[in-house]
Amino acid sequence: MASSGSGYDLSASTFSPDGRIFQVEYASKAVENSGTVIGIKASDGIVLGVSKPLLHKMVVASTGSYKRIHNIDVHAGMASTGFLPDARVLVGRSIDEAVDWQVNFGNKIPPHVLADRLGQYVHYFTLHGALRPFGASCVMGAYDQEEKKYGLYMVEPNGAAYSFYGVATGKGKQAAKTELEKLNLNKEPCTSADAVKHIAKILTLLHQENKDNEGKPLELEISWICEASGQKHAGVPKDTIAAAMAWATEQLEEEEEDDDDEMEES
Amino acid sequence: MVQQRSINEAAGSSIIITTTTTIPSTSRRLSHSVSSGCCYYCIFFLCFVFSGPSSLVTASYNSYNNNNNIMSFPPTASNPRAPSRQHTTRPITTGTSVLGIVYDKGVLLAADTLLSYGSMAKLQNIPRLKAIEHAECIVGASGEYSDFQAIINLLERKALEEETSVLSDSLYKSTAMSASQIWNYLRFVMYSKRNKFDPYWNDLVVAGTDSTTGKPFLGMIDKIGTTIQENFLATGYGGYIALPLLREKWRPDLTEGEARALLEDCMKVLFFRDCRASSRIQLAKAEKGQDGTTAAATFIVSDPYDLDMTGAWDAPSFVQAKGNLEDDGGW
Repeated sequence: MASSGSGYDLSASTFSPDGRIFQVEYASKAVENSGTVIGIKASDGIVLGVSKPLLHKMVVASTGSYKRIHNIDVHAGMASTGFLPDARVLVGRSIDEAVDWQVNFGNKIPPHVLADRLGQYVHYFTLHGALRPFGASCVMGAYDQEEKKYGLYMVEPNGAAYSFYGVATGKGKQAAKTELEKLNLNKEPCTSADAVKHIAKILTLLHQENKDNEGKPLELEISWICEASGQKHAGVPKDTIAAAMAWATEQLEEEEEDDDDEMEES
Repeated sequence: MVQQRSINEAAGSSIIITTTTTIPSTSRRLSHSVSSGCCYYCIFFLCFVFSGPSSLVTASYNSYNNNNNIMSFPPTASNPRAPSRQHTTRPITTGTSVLGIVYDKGVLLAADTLLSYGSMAKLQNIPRLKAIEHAECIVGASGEYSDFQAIINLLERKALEEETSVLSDSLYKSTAMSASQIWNYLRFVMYSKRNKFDPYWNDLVVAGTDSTTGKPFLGMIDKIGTTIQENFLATGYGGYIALPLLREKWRPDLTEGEARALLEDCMKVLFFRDCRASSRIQLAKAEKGQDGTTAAATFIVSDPYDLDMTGAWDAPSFVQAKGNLEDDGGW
């Protein structure tokens, strides 16, 4: 793996013979090593969830310095993973874009415009030899006030900004994607309240599966834009998150028992 | 070029040249100050001024339509006589006084809703008090209305940026700017503009709560960046007419009703005495929350409404003009 670059991976402005830009792929690797982010587009809103791996006992995890979900505007929020400082720059840029749009055009920036602008910005850094790509992925959810619809987008280090029904990135994204596909979100969207529970369950499952996390508590940050929050991006009330986590732990235990029963029978 | 340089040297050590050009709709003053050898663009100007026997006035008259295009600056090769700096000298569409008073639970502001265009009463229903979204304050202005709109734009942009800032502690806490922070920010803005000789031609009033003490806050910033924080304020003519009345009647334990009655009374007097005032006014209230936190505070701006002026014109001197003018007036 280390030698596959061999000379074509020194700069973001160099293609390899088989048509890859290695620096951008390495940036994606940085994202894959960081905490999981899940976004779900529900029938009446968008829910974003982040699992914050406990860095260090001495880090005060509850303050803004380690915040992973940010407000971009009243109607838009962004959850990020990867290098947190890189993610912060992207959040700052999104805030600038949103404010600029409001000042110039008088209404709130539509989700697809915000995603496109951020995608263009991230992409710019994949074109220059003197600049390195951002080592962060952003999952953003926003409410379009004219169309009265919600939009869920993910911007990757290569600048791609796609719209999703459900998206997962960061550590354990494969397992999370499998779980999301089981939910069949494109055919039968769930409600926001259910989405909170699903996210809690997937993140708890990923946390448990990782043996490094033995005995470490799981820190979750979940936010939503939905009817309940008045189409504004807000943190899900903490008791709702606690209830969702309790439900998730219960569900996972039941499923384990079922698995054990099946194993015994066979 | 050589010729121009010799003219410059011949002109002596220090020369100051002033021209005043008058354009029909606005008046602007151009001032150039030149000392020898230091200003490149003024070499062109000197060359022009000292060309031939024609006087300063005739020279500018000749080239008025062709060259002296005031809309283009700084000076370029094609238009060397363009001014290098313009100074705003007067406002065009203006609002008159804004009054503010602190009562027991908050702050009350009052302003009339007239937009004057010189001596013309141009629009009679325009709001001069505005609650800033994402900030906990109300801002009012007298003076140039377009500058007020630019300032509101600036503040709303700033307040939105601060509210969604990356630095906020958590999604569950609001980081909206308070009135005293907005007041300080405006001081910076107004003073910087003044130092560039291009002020926002307004007297601004900011009302809300002080972020540090939690008490009601009323402050003012004028167009040169002076800041004043007081229990009662008035801008423009209000400073002469209403402020003495406010000073006389203010107490720290005024209720909202008393404060409102006092302000309405002052607005009536202003309508009588200020030629650029109207009797349609607007009130705004910034009140602390029940539990004293700014989170529960209310910021309301009322719709414009007409003051009750019945009986206002029945004063004896209006009814019977002095001087016996019913007859021939004495001649």
